[in-house]
Amino acid sequence: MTFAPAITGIGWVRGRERPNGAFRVAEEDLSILDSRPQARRMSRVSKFALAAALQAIEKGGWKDGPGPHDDVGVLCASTHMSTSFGHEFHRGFTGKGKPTAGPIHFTNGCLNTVGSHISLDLGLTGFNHTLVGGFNAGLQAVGTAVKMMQEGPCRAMLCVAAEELSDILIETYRRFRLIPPMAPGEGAVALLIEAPPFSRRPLARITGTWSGHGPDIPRDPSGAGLERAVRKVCDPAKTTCYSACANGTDLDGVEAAAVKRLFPSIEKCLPKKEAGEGFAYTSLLQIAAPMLEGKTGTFVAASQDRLGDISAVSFEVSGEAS
Amino acid sequence: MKVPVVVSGVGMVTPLGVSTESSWKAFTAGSSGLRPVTLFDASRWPSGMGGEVDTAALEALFTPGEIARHDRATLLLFAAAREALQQAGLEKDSDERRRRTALLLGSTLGGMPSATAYLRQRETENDHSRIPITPLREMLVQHQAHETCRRWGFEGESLVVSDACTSGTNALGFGLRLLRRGDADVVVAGGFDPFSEFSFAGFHSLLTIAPDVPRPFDQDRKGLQLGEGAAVMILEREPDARARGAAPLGRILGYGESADAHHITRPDPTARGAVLAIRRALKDAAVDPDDIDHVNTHGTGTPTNDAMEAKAIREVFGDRATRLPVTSLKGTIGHSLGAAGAVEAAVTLLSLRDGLVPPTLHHENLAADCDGIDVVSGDARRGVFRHALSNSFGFGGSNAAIVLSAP
Repeated sequence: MTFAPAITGIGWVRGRERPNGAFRVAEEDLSILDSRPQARRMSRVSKFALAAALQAIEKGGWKDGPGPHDDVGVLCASTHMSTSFGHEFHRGFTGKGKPTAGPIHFTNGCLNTVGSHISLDLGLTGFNHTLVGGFNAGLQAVGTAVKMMQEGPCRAMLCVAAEELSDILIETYRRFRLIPPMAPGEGAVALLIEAPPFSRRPLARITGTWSGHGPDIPRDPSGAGLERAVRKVCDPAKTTCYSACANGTDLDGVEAAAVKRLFPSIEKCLPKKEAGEGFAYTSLLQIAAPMLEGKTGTFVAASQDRLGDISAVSFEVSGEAS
Repeated sequence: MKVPVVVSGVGMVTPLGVSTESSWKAFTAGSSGLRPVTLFDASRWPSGMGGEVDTAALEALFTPGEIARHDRATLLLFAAAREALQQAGLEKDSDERRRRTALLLGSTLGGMPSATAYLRQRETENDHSRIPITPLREMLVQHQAHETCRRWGFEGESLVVSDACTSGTNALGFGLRLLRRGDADVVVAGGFDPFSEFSFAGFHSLLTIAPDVPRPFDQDRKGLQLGEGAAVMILEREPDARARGAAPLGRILGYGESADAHHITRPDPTARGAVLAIRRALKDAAVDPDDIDHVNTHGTGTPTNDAMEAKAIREVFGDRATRLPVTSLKGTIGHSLGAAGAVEAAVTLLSLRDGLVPPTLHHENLAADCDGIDVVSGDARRGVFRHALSNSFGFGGSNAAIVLSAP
C-alpha cells in the first residue's frame, strides 16, 4: 500500500476489571467530560467515545479551532451501541397506560448518535459515519478510514470504537454460552488519523488494511480465512509483533492455527487480557495497545468475528504513544 | 479518470409491491402505500398509520422454514437482493466472482422486530431462560449482512453502515468507491429496515409524526409517517459488466457526504451541510448543476427538513430550481429509514429509464418556506432526464447525495 496515513493521537477510555469478571469504566475516568454539561444526558457509550476522542485530539496536539472543519470527519464503530438506553426506551413504551418513553433514550439509542456527539462537539463537518459489526468492526473501521482518506477530500479523521455493558447484554451472551469464557468489557478507543503531509509527528503509519467475509465458525476451524487476511496486508517474515483478538473462546484455537502457520515465532500482544472482550472497541484496541505499551516495530492486528467477517490491519510504530 | 460504474440489477420491496416493477407502477400511478398499522397494536399512539409491506405477498416469496427462521428485516432484504441478483444474472455465480463480491448495506434497526418481541417476553416471563434466544441473533444489524453473504456465498468485504436516514445512500456511495478502487468486482449495495414499534414510538416521542398523512413541501405539512422496505442494486465497473454481457440499467456517477455538526436530530436550517454534500456529489460525478434534470428529495414532510432541503436546492441550482422537477416518495410510502435512500435511488434510476417522475402525494400547495422549487404533484411528469440527484439527510446531521445517469 503506497498511501500510508498516520495515527497521530490515541485516546483510551478503559474498563477496569471488577470482582464479577467484567471490565467496567469508572465515572472518574470520564473527568475529561466535566467541562461539557451536555454529556450528562448522553448514554454511557457516547460518553466513552467522546472522552476517548477528546483524549486523542489532546494527545495529538490538535490546535484547530471550534470548526466547522469540512475536511475532517468521524468514523465510529460499535457492535451494540447503547443497549441500556434502548432497553429503557422500550420499557417506557410497553408499560400500561400512556407511553412514557422519552426522546432522550430514543435518540441516544440510535446507532449513529455516538459519532454525532463527537461531530457536534468538535465541529467536524467532513462526514459522520457509523459502522456496525462484530468482533472485527474496529479494524474494519480503520480500513474504511484509510480508503476514505485516499479518496479525499478528508485530510484527517477520528476513528472511534466504543461499547457499553448492560445487564441485558451480559444476560444475552451468557445465554449464548459466550460469557464465560469471555470476560465482557466496555470502553472506547479513538485514533486521530491523518493523511500525508502530516502536521504532527506520527505515532504509527498504517501500511495495509483488508476486510472480507469467510466461513462462519465453527465450520472452518483451520483459520484459513484469518491467514488469508493477514497475508493480504503484510509480509509475515518482516512483521515483528502480532496483536491478537484472543478472547478465551473457541475462536482462540482458530486464531492460533492461523498464527502458527504465519509466524513460527513472533511476539504477541494480547489486549483483551487487560480490557476484556469489548467487541468493536477492543478490535480497535488491538491497534492502539502496542503503541500504548511503548512497543515499536512492524505490527499486524487481525480479527475474525463469529459470523465470519474478517479484518486485518498492518502498521509501523515509530515512537512512544504520549 | 474514474472508471464508470453501472447498475446491472435492481431489487425493491416497498409498501406498494414486493418487486421493482410492481412498486414502480404504483409509484407512477399515484397510489398510496400508507395504511392503518397491522404489525402491532398502534391504538395507544396519536397516529395509527404507516407504510407496511404486504406480509402475505412478502411471505409468498419464501418457504415456511425461511419465514420461521428469519426476522422480517431479513426477509425484506433477501427479497430485494434476490430480485437484483436475478436481474443481473448473478444469482448463481462463479466461485471466482463471489470471492470478489462485496456486500454493503445500510440499516438503522436491523432485526428490531425480533428484539422487540424478545424484550416483551422478557418483561412478562420471570424465568428468562425459558424464552427462546435464537431470534436474538437476528437482532444485530450485521446479522442480516451475514445471512446474505452466507446465502449467496459472497466473500468480499461485508460492511453495514448505520447512519440513520442516510444509511442506504451511504451504502451505495461506499460501493461506488469500492469499485473505483478495484477492491471488489461486484458490489451488492442497498438498504433495508422493517416497520417497528420501537421506531414508531421513537418518532412519536420526538413529535415528528403527522396526525394524518405526510405532505412534503406543503404549506400544511405537520410531519412524517414511517414505513419499511428494502432496495438493493448490483454495481459493477462498466467494462466488467459489458464483458459478461450484462445490460446496464443506469450509472452511479458520483457521491458526496457531509455532517452538519448542528444538532442531534434537527437539520441545520442554513442548509450548509446539505449543500456541501450535494456539491461534493456533483463534483465527484463531474457534472454541473445545469446537467441535473431531476431531484429525488429526502422530503420527509417535517417542517424543518423540507424548508432546509428547499433552501439547499435553491442554493445549488439557483434560478433553475423553479424549473427542476423534484419529487418526494415519502408521501407515498412513508419514511423507511435505512431503506429510504436506496429505494429513492432505485426509483430515480427508473425515472431516468422511463423519463417519468412520480408525483409527490399529498402535496397541494407549496409552502412559503419551500418557495422556489418545482414539486411534481398530481400526475407523474414526463420528460427527458439524463442525470438526476437523490438526497438523503439524517439524524445526527448526516447528509448524503448521489448522482445517477441514464444508461
